[in-house]
Amino acid sequence: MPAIIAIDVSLSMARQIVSPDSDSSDLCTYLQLAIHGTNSLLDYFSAHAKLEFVALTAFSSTCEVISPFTRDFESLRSKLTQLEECDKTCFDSVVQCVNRLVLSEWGSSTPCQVILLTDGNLGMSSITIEPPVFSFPCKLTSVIISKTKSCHPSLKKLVETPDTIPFTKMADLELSTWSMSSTISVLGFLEISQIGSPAAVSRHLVLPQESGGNGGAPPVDHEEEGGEGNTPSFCVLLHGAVKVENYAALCNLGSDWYGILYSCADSKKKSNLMLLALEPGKQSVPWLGNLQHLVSPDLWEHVEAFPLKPLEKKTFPLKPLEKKSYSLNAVNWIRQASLQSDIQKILRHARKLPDKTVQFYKELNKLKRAAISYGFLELFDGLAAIFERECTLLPGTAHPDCALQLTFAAGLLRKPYVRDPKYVISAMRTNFNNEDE
Amino acid sequence: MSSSTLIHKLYPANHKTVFVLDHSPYFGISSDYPIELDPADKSRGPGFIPIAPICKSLWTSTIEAVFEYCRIVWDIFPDRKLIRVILSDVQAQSLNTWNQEEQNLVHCMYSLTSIGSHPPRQNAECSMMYGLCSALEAMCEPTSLQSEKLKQDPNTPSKHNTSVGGGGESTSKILNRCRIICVTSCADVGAVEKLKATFHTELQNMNKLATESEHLFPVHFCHLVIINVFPCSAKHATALYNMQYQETPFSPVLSTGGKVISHILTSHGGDIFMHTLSTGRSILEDPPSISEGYGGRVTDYRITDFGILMRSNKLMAGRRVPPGEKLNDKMKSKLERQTLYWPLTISSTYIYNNKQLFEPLLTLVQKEEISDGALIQCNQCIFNLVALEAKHEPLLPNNSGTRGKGPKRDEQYRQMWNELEHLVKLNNRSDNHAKLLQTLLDFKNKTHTASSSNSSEDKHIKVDLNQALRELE
Repeated sequence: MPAIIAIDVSLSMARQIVSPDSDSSDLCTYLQLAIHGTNSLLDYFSAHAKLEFVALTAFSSTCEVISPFTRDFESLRSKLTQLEECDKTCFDSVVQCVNRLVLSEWGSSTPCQVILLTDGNLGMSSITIEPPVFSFPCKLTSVIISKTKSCHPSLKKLVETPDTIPFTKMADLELSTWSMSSTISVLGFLEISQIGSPAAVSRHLVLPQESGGNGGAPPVDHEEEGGEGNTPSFCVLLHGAVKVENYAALCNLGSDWYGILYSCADSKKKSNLMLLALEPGKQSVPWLGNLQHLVSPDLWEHVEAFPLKPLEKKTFPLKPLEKKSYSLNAVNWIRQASLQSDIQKILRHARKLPDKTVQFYKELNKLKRAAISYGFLELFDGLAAIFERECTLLPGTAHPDCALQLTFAAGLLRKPYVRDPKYVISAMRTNFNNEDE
Repeated sequence: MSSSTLIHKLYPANHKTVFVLDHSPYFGISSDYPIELDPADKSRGPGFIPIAPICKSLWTSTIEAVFEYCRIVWDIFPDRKLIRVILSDVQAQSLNTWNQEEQNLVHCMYSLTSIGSHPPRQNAECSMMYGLCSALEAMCEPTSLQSEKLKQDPNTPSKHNTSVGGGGESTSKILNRCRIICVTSCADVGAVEKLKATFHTELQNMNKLATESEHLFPVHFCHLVIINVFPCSAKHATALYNMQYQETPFSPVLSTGGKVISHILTSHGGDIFMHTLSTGRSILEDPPSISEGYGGRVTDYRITDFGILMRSNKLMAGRRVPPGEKLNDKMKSKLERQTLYWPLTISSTYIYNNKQLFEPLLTLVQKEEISDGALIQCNQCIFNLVALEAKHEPLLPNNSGTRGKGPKRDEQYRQMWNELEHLVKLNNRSDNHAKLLQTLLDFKNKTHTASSSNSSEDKHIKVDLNQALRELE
């Protein structure tokens, strides 16, 4: 995660550190010690976390961005030499400055760590310090440089690889926290196209590293050619295979937490193994179903209770169990226009009678049912009037059935018994179509 | 986050909402809000007689608005935001329960039609109190999620928690927070006050009952909303419509200047999903290629073989899986077994480079158990290898892709036997696995001794082999 180093440059930092067992030759100021510590931190970054972005700010009563986010640690080092002491310490200024810096660069959802180096001396001011309010997920580490303890050990502790931050989610009646396990186990493979674009908590670059143990080392001797690049790595193999096959690996990140390992290529020739941490929970990708229940078909025989017939195997994406309202084709007359369009649909069928007799009565019954459900009985007379008027508007070429069925339906709509939900309006038998006798 | 905000978020009142709808004859009157049945843009010829606009009743407007509210909430929150609708006239009539199967419009619509949607016409003894009391009773019924949490919480008194004995006052931190929305028509402020007062009295009575009851969960907080409906009612419509949008969680990112794609709409399996994209700079910007890192310059990874492994472990979804079944664990152990010994590169293996010599042993040895029949096949495989070595046949096909001449043939066989032994040792998990390992070790040691002395012993090995083959038959 990106880091912001904030160095206190208030006047109190210009004091010399007096230590009983040091001679006058290695006297240094608090600020010099802070700069020294920052340099050690940058050493660590360049050795172990080359890809992290680091920004540098200096604060007193105001806060200045000495360097925006960069991976160029040498330029950061050179800027450290230019720091000058100013007036008094004010933590509000640094919080505001850091918020501005992070929001403009990464947005409000990228976690960042803030490392605050200060002597903690607020001078003459008697202001009570409010807890800092960061507008992004923040891991704040304050390094207080004081006379009582040497600062180097605490700085060293600080630069150790940051732990993954546990994921916290609040739903009704549930506050759940998930922690990422130190082992990521592959649980099987899926085609990239089947996975789609699921909601993710975070994305991570997976970097191959020298494996510590020698557990699975092959006994076959092979020439050691030396050099890191020439020692085989599983990550590189996995990356190559998922890339060639257009696959991705489903993996387990912790209890009830899943992730996807896939190959990610930028516009150029570079590509990398990426880990997508899904939202915790076994239902985090709705169109894949319960992630706990994904297995290769050969293992179905072990699911004893419900052996699957081949026909029952389902393909991705899975259909949702309950349809959303937009795919239900339900009647909704909140807007006047939707009622009008439902009526127009019936009229369109009416003009094409007798061909559309079935459709005409189907739509009429649907409208009638909805009107009864909503208690919208006023619609019955209104619709009857529309049918009667439609008869007068029919062209001379219209089939006689048009006028007959419309008049018949209009008459029925005015009858009270039609308002019984169980009553179904069926077509009038006309003399003109005897085929079904 | 302060603790009260936390409680509001953890136990939101909108987990349970009850609509109490006034179903008295008064609601059968017209809303006086005219609705045109002819579309505005359709102008027909001179003979066209426009149809007089019709008006929905107060009831129709109310039920439509409530159902629209339900539709939106249930679309966006398929679970955990539960709504019940109760009609109040001379009695209370509930359209649904807290059961998940009844939390949908199809069910509510069906109940409404069977009850008879339109308010009764005769002026009977109708009251909102019936519905309000029924709503409070409903609030004291725990939802399935609440029941689950109450059961899990050790501080819950025994009436909810079958696993812990003893009674006593509840120290449980699980709260029953809820909301009642009354849609009615109040003549004056006094009527509203009366409704509020009765609500308070009934809530206290209900809570007293609930504390003593085995199955009921007392209400800790209830948000009462009274929506006053009257005809010719732009106000009434606004009041209801405003509420619908309270739940909408989307807040699109605004872009200044150039175009920013912040959201993408896609469909998966017929459902529409809105993907929210991160619009800030990515911290993963410009990473070095994997080929520049550790293991990046190795060129003979067994990519094709890994592709075969992936295809044989391609995941499928099952329709019905028994509860508690953890198929993931089965998948994990299958993969672990298959990759117990899995050389990463072509140059680091003999047995996987000329598979026809080693199959079906390679496949069978990975199984949980080797059947007697499979053991014979595996032994046969070993005998064939011994025979090959005796005949000084090359171990690798000529086009195996290894650079240079590679090790001498004797050395190849020595490494192959070591590799095979390593594989079988790693997979030694059943009696027949152990027998296979023993056979392998016997032959390996014999051939090793043979090759280390001179070729005069070749004959001896062949005799041994023939004898073994006979035994097999």
